[in-house]
Amino acid sequence: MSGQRILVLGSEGYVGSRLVRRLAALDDVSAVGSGRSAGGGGPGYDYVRCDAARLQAVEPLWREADAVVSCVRGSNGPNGSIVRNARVLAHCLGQWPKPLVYLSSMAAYGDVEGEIDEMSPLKGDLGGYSRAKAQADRLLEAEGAAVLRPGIIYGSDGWEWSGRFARLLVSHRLGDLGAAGDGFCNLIHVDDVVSAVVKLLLEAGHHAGPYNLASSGRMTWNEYFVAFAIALGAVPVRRFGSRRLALEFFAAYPLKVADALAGCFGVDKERRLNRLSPNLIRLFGQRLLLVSNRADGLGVAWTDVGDALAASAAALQSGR
Amino acid sequence: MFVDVANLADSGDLNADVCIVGAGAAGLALALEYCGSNTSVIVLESGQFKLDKAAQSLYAGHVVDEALHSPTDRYRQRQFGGSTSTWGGRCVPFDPIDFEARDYIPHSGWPFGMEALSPHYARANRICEAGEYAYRAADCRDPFPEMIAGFDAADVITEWVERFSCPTDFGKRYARRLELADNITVVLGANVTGIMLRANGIATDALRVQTLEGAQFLVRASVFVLAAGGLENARIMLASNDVHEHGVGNANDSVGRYYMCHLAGTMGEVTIDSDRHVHHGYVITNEGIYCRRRFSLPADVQREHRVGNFVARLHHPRITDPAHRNSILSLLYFGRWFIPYEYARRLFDPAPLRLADLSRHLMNVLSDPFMAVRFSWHLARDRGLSERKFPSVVIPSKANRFSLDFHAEQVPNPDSRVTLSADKDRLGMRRLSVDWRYTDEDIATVARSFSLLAKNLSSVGSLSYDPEAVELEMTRYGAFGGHHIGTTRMGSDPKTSVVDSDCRVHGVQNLYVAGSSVFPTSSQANPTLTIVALALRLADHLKNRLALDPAS
Repeated sequence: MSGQRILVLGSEGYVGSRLVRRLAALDDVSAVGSGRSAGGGGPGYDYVRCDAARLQAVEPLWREADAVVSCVRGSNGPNGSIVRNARVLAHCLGQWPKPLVYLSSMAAYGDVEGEIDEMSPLKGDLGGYSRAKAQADRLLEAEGAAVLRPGIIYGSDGWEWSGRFARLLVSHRLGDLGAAGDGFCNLIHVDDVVSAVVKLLLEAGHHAGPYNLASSGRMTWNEYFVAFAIALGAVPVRRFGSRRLALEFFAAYPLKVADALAGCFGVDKERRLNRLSPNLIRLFGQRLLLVSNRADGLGVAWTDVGDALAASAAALQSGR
Repeated sequence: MFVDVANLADSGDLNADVCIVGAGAAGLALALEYCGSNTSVIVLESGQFKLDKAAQSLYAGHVVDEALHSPTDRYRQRQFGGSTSTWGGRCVPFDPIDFEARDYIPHSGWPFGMEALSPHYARANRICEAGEYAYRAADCRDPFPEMIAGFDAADVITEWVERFSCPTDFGKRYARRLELADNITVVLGANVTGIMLRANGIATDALRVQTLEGAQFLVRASVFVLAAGGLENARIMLASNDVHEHGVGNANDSVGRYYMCHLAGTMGEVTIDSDRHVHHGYVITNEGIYCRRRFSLPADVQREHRVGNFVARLHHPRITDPAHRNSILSLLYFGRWFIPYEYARRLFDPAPLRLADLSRHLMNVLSDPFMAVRFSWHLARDRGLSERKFPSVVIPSKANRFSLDFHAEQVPNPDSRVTLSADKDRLGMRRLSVDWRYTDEDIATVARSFSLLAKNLSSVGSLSYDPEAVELEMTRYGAFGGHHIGTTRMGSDPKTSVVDSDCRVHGVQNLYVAGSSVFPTSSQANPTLTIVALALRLADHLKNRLALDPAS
């Protein structure tokens, strides 16, 4: 495909912003970003303010585009924006079929363990986000969308899975967790997610269906934390036992309140006291191995985890 | 998954591709290699998740000389995780020379060299949670402090280190992985009381399993692996005499022989010149692993002086002797009743308790109570409350005065052996009788090594010791507990060994042995890391075997 107009919903987010910039740099693509805030555009692409959960807002943009990518994060719940966005996309896809790449999450699989490939059922039983993603995936897969289920998206300027952990590692509140950190971390670099989307849209041709995305193989959270801590110079890496994790578990709720209050007072998330939520602690132990056979076939050269952690550490340290 | 033996006993016999006997370092390392594979695996463990006295009592046996060897139910844990639940965590690989046939070490030589085990050591290090596979000081941390500033000797080097596991209790650490593996069934409370060979005697048909409540069942598999421990492997083989009168794999009377522990003790007084900095404690790597330098003898020096492998560490004086005048050591002396048997052995002198000594220990504590309090805090924080524990007591010496704690190779000796006694345990299985012996070659290894140390340390200070007391100090606390080596030794010749280079019992097609019982020689190294590395090597072999011949 060439000279096509590609709409990126959620282009202000971590993945969306990188994707729209990558698309804008391509010769034969006209990229259009969209999001809920005003003035979210950038060089080389148009930006349209749009609530992706509202059909009236999305429909005109959809009709003008040759292909659409949804990187919308959204809110949980049966009528949250994740599900409403999916309903809007499914409707548009039914009315005006065109390639759609939908960015979902491995959370859609729910509380499962073992090797999980794209044929595995979506249990969606890990809370509201997990349920919403599973519901959205089912809806969009049925309509012929390509649904990407990345594992943990990390990268230099990612806060949730890189910056936040860096702070916890540097402050020695995180490290080798023993059996509690024995889960597979299923890392996928943000640039690789972007590359997979581009390949799907422009090179491999549009193939519907689910794609798992993870490139770290059987790397565990412990191995990720130890490697990242060493890259950050947060050494020696500490070993944490069940007592310490229990403390973090019980401290999570008061810290959540404190976090919300700090947010109300305008404190940057980077400056707030981080917490290890019960969900996060559970995730560290989840032996879910995301099998990315279909995505491997796209021909993306996955980023080396060691190189990426070194780059992340360097970027974080220079910005510290 | 884990199953309750009480539920299994009524459901008839069990079948699997691979049956592993024992859930200790060897058995669990092997089982972990099969997690998520298509191979069905049964792990039979006699004990439970926690130590069960009734199961542990099955280890009770007879010791010929109790001054030389600990009781047979000590240093061995009959529970899920095996003796890793009490190990000290010291990880050291064997040295290349340990695999060589040396004309000055009788019965030495492995059927393969270091290169066959090297790839597995790295994985073993990870399973033991001892960090990366790096044992040269410069590879562990840069810079790694010198043990003795400016020490550069011809015959003794300090560049090699020992690394420490948490120590990792394999049972606690890896239970969940096994629980999640659909293809692995861990049966707790399952005591293997016999290996049932087919009538022709060249293959194993089944294992006879009993519960403490008296129920019995059989386990059939394509391949069986005994991983029950350095002593128990021999016991099971000797006790299985349905087809072969002298036990399985024992046609040449090798099972139970060549029993080795390590030669260990504390001896001599090292004084380092006062202007030289000494660092005899631990260094923490970036990964958070405790490491420590020690004295070792290079291979060419061992060959030249015809000594077994030997290492030594700068150490504190003997704790039981109050002449050390150290408040920490005397505090430990008083605290010995609170320290597990396995680690308190050197705190109990064979000599009778004297009131005068007790008073002197008390005076030592009172002479520097602040040091004793500081040490107690360090012990509580860095050992009691820490998940990765400070490995041992390290006492600084302002006078640069130390003793030497040594750990040396024992030569394989066919007369040092374990046999079955006439007594039986509650399951009707004959108990072990241990007759551990040492030889003149063993004394010579320690004596010559000390002589070399004395000569080489003269450039930085002095080492004084009584050469006549080597044998006494080497055996003061008997054989080094917990290192049970050689009772089902590996070799190419069935006349002098029990298993071949693949750890398969000579003459039995589908029976393998894992653990330190297959080591032909003992090295200076603590055995756990090599037990795990060998188990991983065996796992690779079995995977290939089952892949090539699924019908087997």
